[in-house]
Amino acid sequence: MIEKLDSAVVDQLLESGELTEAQIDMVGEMVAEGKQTSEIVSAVLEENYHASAAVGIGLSSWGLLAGALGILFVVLIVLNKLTSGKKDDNN
Amino acid sequence: MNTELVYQLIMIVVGLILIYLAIKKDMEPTLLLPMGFGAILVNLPGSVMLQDNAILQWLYNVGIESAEAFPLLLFIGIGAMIDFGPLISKPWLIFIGAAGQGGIFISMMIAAALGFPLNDAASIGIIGAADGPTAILVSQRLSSNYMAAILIVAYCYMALVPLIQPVVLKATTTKKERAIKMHYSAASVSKTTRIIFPIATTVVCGILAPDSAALVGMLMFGNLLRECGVLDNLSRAAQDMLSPLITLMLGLAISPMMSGPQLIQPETLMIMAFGLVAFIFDTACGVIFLKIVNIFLPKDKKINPLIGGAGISAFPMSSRVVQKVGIEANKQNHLLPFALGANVSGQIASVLAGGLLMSTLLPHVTSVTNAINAFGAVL
Repeated sequence: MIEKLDSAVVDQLLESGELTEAQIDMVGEMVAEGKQTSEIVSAVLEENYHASAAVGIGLSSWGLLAGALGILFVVLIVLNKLTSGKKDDNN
Repeated sequence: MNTELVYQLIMIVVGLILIYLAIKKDMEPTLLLPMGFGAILVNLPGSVMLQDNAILQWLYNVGIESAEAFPLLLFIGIGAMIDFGPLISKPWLIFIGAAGQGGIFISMMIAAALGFPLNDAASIGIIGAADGPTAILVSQRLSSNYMAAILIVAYCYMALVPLIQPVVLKATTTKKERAIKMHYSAASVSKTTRIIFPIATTVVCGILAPDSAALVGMLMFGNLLRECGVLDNLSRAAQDMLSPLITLMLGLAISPMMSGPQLIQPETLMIMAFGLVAFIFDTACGVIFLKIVNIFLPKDKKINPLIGGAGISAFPMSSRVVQKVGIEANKQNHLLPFALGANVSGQIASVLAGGLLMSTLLPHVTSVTNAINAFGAVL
């Protein structure tokens, strides 16, 4: 199926590093079968990620979330310090 | 009678139930009423509502599929409704938001372990944040197979906060813990701080999680409208008109996804179960976080762990539930100001959590979508 695509398009798809040639071929087969986008995305994701990857993704996302909110915490502390002397119309 | 017709009839009944819940039980009527009506419209035998040029399909294409305009615009209204003052004056409450999103990630892991692909598992997990617009945005961007089911379940659980949360709060705390009295000293927040806060939050979140920029940006823009002091009319319009109108459009726009044969699958029931798990975990994670913090605090500085239960996005319902459960345990307890701070931090955290999950999975989804488009052009 991949041979139906222009080689420049295939190179572009491979460049992203997210898909292999076999997976591009699989996408082509599924498009030809008339499958919906969501079904194709799920099928390729299942190919690429083992269920255990969810643990890594979940924990790293949770850690990043805590880190981002930690930075916001510091921003709020600094903001409160900087504006604590301001007498401008407190709400 | 063929199976398709049976499914359509079931969905018409579901539509009637949604309309009943909206009118009789006052459950999220701005969303459930149009969704229920839309479900009836698309499931009428021989309905033309699923054709490309039909109004409901057009609303879906324009408002959800092309740029997720409806959920994003809805955030302007939500931002205009939220007073971030309790959080700004007590910045430590922001960590409850981080802890409270644990349910998203835990239920995502469980869903993936039980065989859901990661895009669906992540979308299911987001239900736990009790944040409808984020749930729809994440499931749409990640091309989940179950967007309609996720949206219905997310909004139903949001409406059920007053029923579900007290049970979880009581199950995860002792009466002694629930009775811990919190002393609130109202600290005034200057107008300058209130104006800088939404801008600073947008910049920080936009840099750290670029995929959350649209969500956080719209939420904070709505809040800036509220706090700037020169656009009061627009702020009121965003709260009173934009928000319900967009919710109504969203309800109608989602109905093409509610055709019986598409929605009635065993997985839909599993999503309902997972949504509940995610929601319970989100509430419990916030409570458990504060219980752990209390281990390290001196006896007279203990925090009432109920406040942790408000670290979700259902604003201000969750804060009210915490206040009510707190008062049941100690009549002199006044947890509301703390719960409101935790609640708004849950709003920011749920949006960020959605953005972070999208950041991880979106490059892959985009590549697959590009491949689909490439094949679509030649086949």
